[in-house]
Amino acid sequence: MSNSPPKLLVGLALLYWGYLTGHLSAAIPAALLLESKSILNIRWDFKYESYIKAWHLCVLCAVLIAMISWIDGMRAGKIHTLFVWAPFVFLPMELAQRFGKAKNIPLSTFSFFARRQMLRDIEQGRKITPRLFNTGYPYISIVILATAKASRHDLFHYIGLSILIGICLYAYTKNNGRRPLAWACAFILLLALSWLGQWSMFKIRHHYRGGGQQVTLNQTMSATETRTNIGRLGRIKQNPNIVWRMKVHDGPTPKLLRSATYNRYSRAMWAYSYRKSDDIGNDYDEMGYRGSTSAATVEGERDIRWFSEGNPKLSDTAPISIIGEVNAKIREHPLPIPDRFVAIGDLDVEAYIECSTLGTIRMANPNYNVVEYATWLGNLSNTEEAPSELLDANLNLDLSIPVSERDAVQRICTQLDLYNPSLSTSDKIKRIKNLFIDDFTYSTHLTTPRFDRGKRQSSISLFLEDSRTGHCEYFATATTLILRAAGIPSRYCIGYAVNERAKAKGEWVMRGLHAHAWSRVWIEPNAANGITSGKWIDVDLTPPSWQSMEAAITDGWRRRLADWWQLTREDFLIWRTREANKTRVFYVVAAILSLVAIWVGGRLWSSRQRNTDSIHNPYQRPKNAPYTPLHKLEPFIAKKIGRRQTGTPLCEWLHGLLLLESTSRHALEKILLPAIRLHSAIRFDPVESGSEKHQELMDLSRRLKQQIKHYPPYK
Amino acid sequence: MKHLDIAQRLEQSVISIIKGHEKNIRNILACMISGGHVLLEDNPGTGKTTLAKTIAKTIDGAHFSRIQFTPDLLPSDILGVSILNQKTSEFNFHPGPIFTDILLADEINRASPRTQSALLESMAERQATIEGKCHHIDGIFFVIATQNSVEFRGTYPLPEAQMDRFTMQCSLGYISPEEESAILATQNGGHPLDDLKPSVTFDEVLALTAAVADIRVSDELRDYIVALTSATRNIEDVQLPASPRASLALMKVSQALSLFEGLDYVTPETIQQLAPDIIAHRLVVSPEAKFNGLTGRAIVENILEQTPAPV
Repeated sequence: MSNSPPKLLVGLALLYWGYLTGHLSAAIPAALLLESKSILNIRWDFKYESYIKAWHLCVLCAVLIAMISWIDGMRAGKIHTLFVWAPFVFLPMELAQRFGKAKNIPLSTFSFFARRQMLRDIEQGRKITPRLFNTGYPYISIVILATAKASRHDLFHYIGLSILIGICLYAYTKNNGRRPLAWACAFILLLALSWLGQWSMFKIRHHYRGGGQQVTLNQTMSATETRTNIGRLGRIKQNPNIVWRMKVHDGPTPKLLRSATYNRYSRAMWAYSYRKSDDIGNDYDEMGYRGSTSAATVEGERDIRWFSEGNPKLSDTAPISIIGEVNAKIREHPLPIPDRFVAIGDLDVEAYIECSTLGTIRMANPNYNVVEYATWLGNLSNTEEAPSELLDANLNLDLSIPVSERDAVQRICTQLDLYNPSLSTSDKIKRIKNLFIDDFTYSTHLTTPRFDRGKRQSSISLFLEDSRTGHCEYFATATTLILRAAGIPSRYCIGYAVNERAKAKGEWVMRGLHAHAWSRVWIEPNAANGITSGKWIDVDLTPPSWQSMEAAITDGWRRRLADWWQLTREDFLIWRTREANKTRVFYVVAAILSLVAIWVGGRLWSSRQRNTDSIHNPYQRPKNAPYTPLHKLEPFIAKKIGRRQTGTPLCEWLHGLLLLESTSRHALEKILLPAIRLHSAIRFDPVESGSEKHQELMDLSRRLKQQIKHYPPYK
Repeated sequence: MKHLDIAQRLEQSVISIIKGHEKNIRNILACMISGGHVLLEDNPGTGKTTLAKTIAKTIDGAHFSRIQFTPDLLPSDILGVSILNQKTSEFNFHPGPIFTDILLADEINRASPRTQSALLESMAERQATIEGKCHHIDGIFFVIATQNSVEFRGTYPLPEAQMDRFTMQCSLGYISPEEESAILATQNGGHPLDDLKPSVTFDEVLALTAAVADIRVSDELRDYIVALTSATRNIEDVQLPASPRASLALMKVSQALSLFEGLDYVTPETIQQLAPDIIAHRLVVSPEAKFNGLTGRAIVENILEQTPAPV
């Protein structure tokens, strides 16, 4: 590890990295900087402490890159993607190695504990022999690894890798004599190993990712499907973290924020089922979503999206704005919205907003995970399609009830007399509500069905007729199914209950434990009551006691601290997302970085030195110094007694032959000593012209070669 | 060949008395005929004084004097003094022990630096200025100083300028048990030094000294010598690096040593062999580095390893 790589190899590796990761504009200056070593005549006499400083600078770079990415909204789980920047993180160390005068760096530079150990050893007078190494080849391998992180699928990646490995291998083994066959074998072996390693890594990853798919799906919600905890045992774990925040600028505070609506229930799972055959316009895609109409017209540059035909009438100030983090785990990225939603605005210009037939609003491309948006409310929601006119429960999804639950639901309907046509929708709802309040208990302890998994398909029946205990998902599902049985189109939706006022800011906060489920119920137009068009309303029949049961968790200083941290971070992310702030942040960061660069650069500049290698060592082998036959024999003898160190004169080194255990020592002496003498004379006697001696030495060296041919190779 | 013969006779004679230090003896003799002076730093009883006396005795006609350095020794005890002759009412100069061929300065670091400094002029310029009058020192003039290791009680460290005057510093060190028992055997009936017959004449040694200048040094090796000494000037742990005097000494002693080896040109091996003895003692190592166990010798050996050798 004490060899330095040949010229241009590091630059080549960096260009390879830049080309494949698409950061060529960053790679070229770095490569030039590193390779300028051979052109520039400036060196620094770094001390041990300076190398430690360079290492600290590397760590600082890593932290800085992580922080910038964090500010950019990167999640902690994605931190491994930053390894792509490793060549830049380790750049200070490599620069220090290249432009420092020391050939090698002690290994303890990189470990705080090793350094402390070393200092202690020095203090106690123990002899230390620091392990030295050159960062050149490790740096190249880091560059190659970082490239692999980004572009392992590229064919060029493999070609470039082969070339670089080939050059490294060639340069590394050059000093030990060139053996083309061995080189080729090692090269092929390395390539095969790297390919095999990569292949198996992918297999392993694929295995774990693929295997994990089913496990995670159970927990992952999405806007098209939600697995409820209906029919499960255990206690629902509730996350006290703040998920969304709502600011009410105008008008009443909505009690519920809806993030997704579903219309089909089966085996404890609600899903959004979109039927193309339904006669609902053709502007929806095959997933049942359609994009928004947008206009940046209402108030100057304000960007507002809506989904209805024509321009809705919107007030200047949006009544409600919502801040939060789009949960990457929930697929389709639904955004919570209040009832009677008509338009959304103030999002990032590039954000693409879509809406499903059930009125679920989603962000197709969350650029920044944390978003802030304004919503406008109308008299009634215009994003939800009216229920199908079909009365057949099998065809109309808003009326369908799974067969396994149908009997129990119908018995409840009969018990409450819900089939009575004279009852209005609100009367029917009232009856169900009373039933739930009187006879049912809210509990997050999921003890309802003490049955196996197969019974989950009838767990609503069990809930209704047997246990009568459950949490909001039970109540909401039961409400939806009972209303459907009573002939009222209804849907199931999930979202958040708004019942915690933030202490300082006059906002409302929604935590994980405020997650809630309820029903969307269709109110028929009724000319008698003055209702001209049908509308969807929120019906939440979960006994209201549930909210008080969960308030206790939100107290305590640790929670408050976590809340403060989260809100501050979100506010900051929102702040830096704004275009004007982005440039401001850029200028500030650039100013700080350039100040640091100027400071470091200034200190380096003042401590620079000429590359005084030639002044250090005025001795250089003269160009016209003769070569003797012994010089030509050097590689051959090196195989027997090891390589000659640069500081060892040839003749002294040749004496090593005499130390070898050999029966023919005397014979060897007879050849070697005259040869050495002749060599010295030819080489160092200034008056020697030496053609006869040269001839003589040629003869001697031939005999020497014969003599030592059968010696065992050097170990 | 004539010179080689003289050199070998000289060497053999000394070796016959001082056992087990062949390499050092050759270096010291080379130092002598190159016109230099040597400082032997060693533990008591390792044969420093015997070595000096042997060298003096083996040269026929060489004048030997010795100064035992003590804390109360004065410069005039070394250089000499003018005393008023009451009969003639004139000052007569009484030369001190420095006017000699071979001077043994025993335990030099027991005298105060002031007295030590009395040697400065004569060692560098072969002359002594006493009471304004310059006295030239003829002949061989070879100073062998011995000193106990500096840490010993009652010693003064030599001033840097004085250290630089010494061409070479080496230590004899302890010899092997076999050689030691051989010494016991030879000294049973009196010291073998008493029976030593001179092996070379005074003039032969002077001829040898003159022959040193004829040993050829190529330009390349001169550069190499300068590379070695000037490398000490770029090391941070060295407070006082080697002087050009060190380069000069290294070249001259290398020439002399080549003469002993029967060569009429200098080889890099010779230079490398002498470099630690000639350069190391002139370096003043910074206290921190000294505390960390770094010695001048280690620095020079490191330089020898780092500097590419002429091949």
